[in-house]
Amino acid sequence: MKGDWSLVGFTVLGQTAVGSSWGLAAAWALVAHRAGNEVAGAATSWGAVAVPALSTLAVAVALLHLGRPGRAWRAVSNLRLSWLSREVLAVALFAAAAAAVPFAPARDRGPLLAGTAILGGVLLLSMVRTYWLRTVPAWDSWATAALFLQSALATGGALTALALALRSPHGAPGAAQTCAAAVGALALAVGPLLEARWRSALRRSGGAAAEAAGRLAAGVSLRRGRLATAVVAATLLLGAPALAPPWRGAALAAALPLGLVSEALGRALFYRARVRTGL
Amino acid sequence: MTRIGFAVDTSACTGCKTCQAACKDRNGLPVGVLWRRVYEVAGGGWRRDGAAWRHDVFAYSLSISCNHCEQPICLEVCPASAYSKLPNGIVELDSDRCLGCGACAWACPYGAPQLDPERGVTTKCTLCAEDLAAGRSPACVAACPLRVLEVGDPEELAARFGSPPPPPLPDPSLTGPALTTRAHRDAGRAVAGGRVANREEVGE
Repeated sequence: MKGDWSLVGFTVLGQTAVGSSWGLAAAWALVAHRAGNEVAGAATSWGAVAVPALSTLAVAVALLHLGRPGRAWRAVSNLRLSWLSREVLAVALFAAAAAAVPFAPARDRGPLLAGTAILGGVLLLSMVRTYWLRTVPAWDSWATAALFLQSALATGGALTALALALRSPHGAPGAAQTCAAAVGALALAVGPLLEARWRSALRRSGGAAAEAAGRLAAGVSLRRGRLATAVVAATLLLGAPALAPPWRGAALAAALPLGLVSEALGRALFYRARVRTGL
Repeated sequence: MTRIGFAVDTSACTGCKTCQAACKDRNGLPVGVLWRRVYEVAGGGWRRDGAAWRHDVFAYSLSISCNHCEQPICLEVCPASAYSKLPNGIVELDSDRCLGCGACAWACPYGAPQLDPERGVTTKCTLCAEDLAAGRSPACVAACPLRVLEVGDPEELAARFGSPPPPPLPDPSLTGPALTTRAHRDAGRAVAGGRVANREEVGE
């Protein structure tokens, strides 16, 4: 589990960045449609800085699990066969595209945000495929894709709502901010339900999958912690748009770290379910 | 060139672990790294039979190293292209290219790639390629006092004593291991209720 914490950090932070890139691209399109490109560019300016910062942090955290971090550059040497290689390339391209957004003129950010969001989708897909190992039945399932997507929407929604609120702390919450908070809250609430359904499906499968279900069931404190933080974070996200300006920002600022903790605990459960077929 | 693979006769293995020790000695492996491991598969228990209690316990040993698979999953998942498949079937690992990410160790259903904590890289069985080239047997095969282990052409070995892989070996269709086994008489019982009894010893 020691090295797993760095991968928990990488996947959760990376998926937060991906979800935020989707949220920002959608917010840009919504605001640009109503108030023009200039306003849309300004509204997404905080988020445009947060996404590359998070992606870079995710990569830095991922290096911690390597036995030889100095050789990390070799990780793109097997693009022909390895989804892990493709994941590393995807995260590098995504971070580079995200880093270019803040330097673009505010009114022209739309296409760049859209491009980053598409690369974010590619990154999420490569993350899922990396864990679809035919020898690890608990991961080689629909649940990996569902849990990763749910994480991206939960924490990405929370970060998008906060970034939009930070840009106009005293204004009324726009439709984009309300939608991002609602998506984040819904995805946070769905996480524990998905995990329960996954555990139930594994238990029925027998063999290594059933052993993985047993490990998930034994992680009682992780499950309780995840559920508690998810409920509080989702409540804050749903309630924030109705609050007065100083409290709205505070609620969103509290919801994001709680959401991250919730998803990190869920991810720790995911790694706990790593039981190979065979020896 | 002929393919090369191991054969293990689990019906005759006593679990003495001479193969494990010889491998460790031949390759100078550090503490905690075992390229060849001897798993103790055990099961059964006590059951009531009228006024008497009878046991149906069983145990057998399974000596396993890298099986130099036909579709090696280590080679598929390694992001650094540290693995290669040689013409003679040996799956070679160049530890100088390894990042120590552990992806191969996660994926291999035989637990063959082992992380060397001192060097921060993964290492694994080389099938004693130098010894093979010199006409000698790998250290594990040469050391086995009961001649349980053999090395050679997998098809030839399978014709001599092949049987379905005993539990808890995985379905061979997953990776196509170059491994031939002769099952222990209790292998069938292990399907229903066998477990590896020495997980801690084999480092998992």
